[in-house]
Amino acid sequence: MSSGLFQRLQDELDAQEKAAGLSMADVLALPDPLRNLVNWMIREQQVELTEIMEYADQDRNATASMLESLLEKGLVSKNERQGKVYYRIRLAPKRRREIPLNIWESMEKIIDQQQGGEIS
Amino acid sequence: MSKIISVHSFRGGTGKSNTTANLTALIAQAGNRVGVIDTDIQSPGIHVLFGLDEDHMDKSLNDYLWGRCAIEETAYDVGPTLKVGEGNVAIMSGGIYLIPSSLKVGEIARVLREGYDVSILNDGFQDLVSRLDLDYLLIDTHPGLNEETLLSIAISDVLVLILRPDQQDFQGTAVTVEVARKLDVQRMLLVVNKVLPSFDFDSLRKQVEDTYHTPVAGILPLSEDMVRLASRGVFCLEYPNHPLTKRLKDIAEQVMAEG
Ligand SMILES: Nc1ncnc2c1ncn2[C@@H]1O[C@H](COP(=O)(O)OP(=O)(O)OP(=O)(O)O)[C@@H](O)[C@H]1O
Ligand SMILES: [Mg+2]
Repeated sequence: MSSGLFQRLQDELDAQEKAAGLSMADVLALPDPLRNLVNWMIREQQVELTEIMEYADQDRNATASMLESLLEKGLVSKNERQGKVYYRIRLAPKRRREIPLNIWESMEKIIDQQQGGEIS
Repeated sequence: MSKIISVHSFRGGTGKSNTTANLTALIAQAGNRVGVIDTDIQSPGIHVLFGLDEDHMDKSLNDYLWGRCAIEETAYDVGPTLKVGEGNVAIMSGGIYLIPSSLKVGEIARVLREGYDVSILNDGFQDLVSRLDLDYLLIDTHPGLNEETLLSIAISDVLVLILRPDQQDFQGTAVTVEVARKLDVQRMLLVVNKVLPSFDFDSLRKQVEDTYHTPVAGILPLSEDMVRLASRGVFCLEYPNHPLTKRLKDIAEQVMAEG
């Protein structure tokens, strides 16, 4: 993954406030490949890093960095069970602050540039 | 493999709760363990069809959402107490587990005022399926699009969308179909309900399928017997040999079939 691209996502995320999670209405507004990824993660409830790598067709470093940024902003949560690390989408409580959607736009740009815009 | 089935409509009063209850009973009669959950927290009602009265409703979905108990503690095994038509015996080889929403004013007000954590609802769906060892979980929803409806659409294996032959329903259904596609719903089936018996069912089916590019699982006539039953029971159990029951069975079979 190009460090320049990741830096851009990082800057974008750094500029955002921590969100109380993603609402289902936010999910609808996500750009295509990301929406597919988020829908899939919601259905699976929790997934491991390797599963996300496979689904998004990205390498370990890129996936891990993306997840770290999302974690930091409260859009994804991480928990450990029996020595395994799982990630899940944090769905916002019904009443919550507006989530900044440009986070997703910048993420999509990055994914687009990495793999020509196709997830699965 | 267990399946989650959501029953939804854009507008109210289309017959979601009655259809959900009938599909639940028919799928259970086919030998499955079936859960049915009322996610219409603002205006619950499906428990009425299963004969669960408020006084016997000890715990509800609300208790689970507020962290007062585990989701499986809110499930009522309603199979044994189901009301059936005179001279009929309902054989529920599988079993029916109903998760009602509370009818207490305070509980409804609290949900409206404070909202609740939608993630908890998602966990609840999955935990119900695994802890009660369900073959099917049916979700009765609130009309329109809100957070819990969107979630139940997103996680369902089959979405059953109900509409009446009415212009407002037609437009609303177009919106819902688009939203369901955005949520990558696995399989969608349309049911047209309350159709005047004098209508041409075949041409209505074709018209609806052409409009939404989605299969119609069944067309249900406006039925006087259904009106008379007035949600006092589950239609297919009261009238096992009724033509409407036959149509409902046909829908249940499509829901159970592999997409
Ligand atoms: N095919 C039918 N023929 C006649 N009456 C029907 C038919 N289907 C449903 N009904 C009646 O329509 C009314 C509404 O049905 P139901 O409560 O199942 O709808 P709903 O979509 O769940 O409503 P809500 O949006 O309020 O939850 C009930 O009185 C029911 O008996
Ligand atoms: Mg209803």
